Amino acid sequence: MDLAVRQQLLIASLACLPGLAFGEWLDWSAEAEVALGSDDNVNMAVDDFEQDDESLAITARLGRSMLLDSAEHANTRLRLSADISREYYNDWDDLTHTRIGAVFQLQHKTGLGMTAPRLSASLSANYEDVRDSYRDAWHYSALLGIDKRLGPRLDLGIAAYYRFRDGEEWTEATTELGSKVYNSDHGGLTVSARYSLLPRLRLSASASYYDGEFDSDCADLLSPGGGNAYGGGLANLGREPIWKQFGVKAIAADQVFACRWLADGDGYGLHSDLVWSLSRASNVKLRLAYREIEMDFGEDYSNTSLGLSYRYRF
Amino acid sequence: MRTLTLVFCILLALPGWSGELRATVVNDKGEAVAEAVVYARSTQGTTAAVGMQRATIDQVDKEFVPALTVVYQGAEVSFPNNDNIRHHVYSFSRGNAFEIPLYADQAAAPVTFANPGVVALGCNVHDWMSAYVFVADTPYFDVTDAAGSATLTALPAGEYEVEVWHVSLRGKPEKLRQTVAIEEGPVALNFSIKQKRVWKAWRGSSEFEEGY
Repeated sequence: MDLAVRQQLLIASLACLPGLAFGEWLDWSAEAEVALGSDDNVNMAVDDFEQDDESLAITARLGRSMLLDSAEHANTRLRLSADISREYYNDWDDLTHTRIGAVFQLQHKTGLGMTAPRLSASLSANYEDVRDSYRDAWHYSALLGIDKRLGPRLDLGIAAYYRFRDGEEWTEATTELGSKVYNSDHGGLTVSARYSLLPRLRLSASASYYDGEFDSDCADLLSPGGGNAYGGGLANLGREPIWKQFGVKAIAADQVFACRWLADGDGYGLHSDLVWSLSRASNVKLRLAYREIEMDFGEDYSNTSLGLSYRYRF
Repeated sequence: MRTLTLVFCILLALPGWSGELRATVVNDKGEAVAEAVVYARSTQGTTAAVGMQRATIDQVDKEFVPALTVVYQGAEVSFPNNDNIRHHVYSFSRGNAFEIPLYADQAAAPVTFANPGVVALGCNVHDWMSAYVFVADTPYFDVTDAAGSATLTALPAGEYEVEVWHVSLRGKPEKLRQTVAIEEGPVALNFSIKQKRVWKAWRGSSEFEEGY
């Protein structure tokens, strides 16, 4: 489907939502967020080829919830939201991007009381417009989860998800594999816990397992043949088609980091947030995340990222 | 003569001597404890006649207001909703369990709290909403102010068992029980309680990160 058509459909569907009449709409909710981030491996490369960077992201969100049940019970809620963000990178300016998206989420509480388990399902779609236009892509995700409070302080959850990225076909496809390195999908499972350290300070932690297709930097592949990881370009690939042995699904010259490929792999991630609620309308969040992906052919890469954000609800 | 008759009639109408109990509640650090319930039961079983009591617990900005209500057993409590979102009020507390399914504005009927005890309230839409109703089995009670002071008035002369309850009380009120004789004039009592931290479910600042 054409990009413009999909964007129009996204906007039109959001515009039509208030017209739905099978439940009770709650108030609109709008908020803004400013986030500083740091990532030690923005190119997702193996050791010695990692590139780090810092970023600044500004996000605006608008959403609304609807109680879907009959007049007497409020156990099912539909939440619709849209967001737009702009993220600026400090050194790798070509990674700067704008993202616009929407989330459709259903939540169902399975009983009465704080500790009743909550089921959730969500679908999201967003479009990422990157300064390096080869990275432009639609991102879709689906999630099914269940959460349960064990008490007022502790909340546990488990969720399964699937993500699909519909990337562009690069023009520099020089191998028979094609160059859609940003056309990938993977699934995963996440277990999470949220714990109130203080009445206004909450720690969240999660561990995830990933399995599927992952893109990563292949500068190390260029290095032995060309001697210069960022200067060899795809000409080296032609001379030394090592990738053929690796089960690589796509490979292409990267306008930003020299070389990019897509292959099957799996991995895990650890994520923690420390949220300090400043008021009922604002909070500060400190985020620390680690992710390690191992490609099926044996190479692995990892990211450690750190973030600090301020969020305000209007 | 008419004045003397009036004075005589007033004296006849008055009950026996009634006293006053002034209680102070502090924690084990010596800090004043506000919102503690001080209540006195007559050991002779004498209790003044009490008419139907009514109380109101409002819902404002997705919180119960007030967070503590004290009533005499048999009281009717209404739960108006002043938010522009519906609430679903419930309690699992033994002897006073109830549920008012999703509603806006004024709940259909007030809830009668027939049995003494502590009633913990919640909202099934907003898990962080919590409040307490203390249902007393005596009409003699008061709630401490910011200085930790409570005054029980119009106590008929006699012997009373006085206890204290607070939402953060560590232990049972019976362990704090003091017996006091009420006669003409005020009587002072001091209570020192051990407290524990009381947690409410997390209320997030972001509608997009929070579920129920």
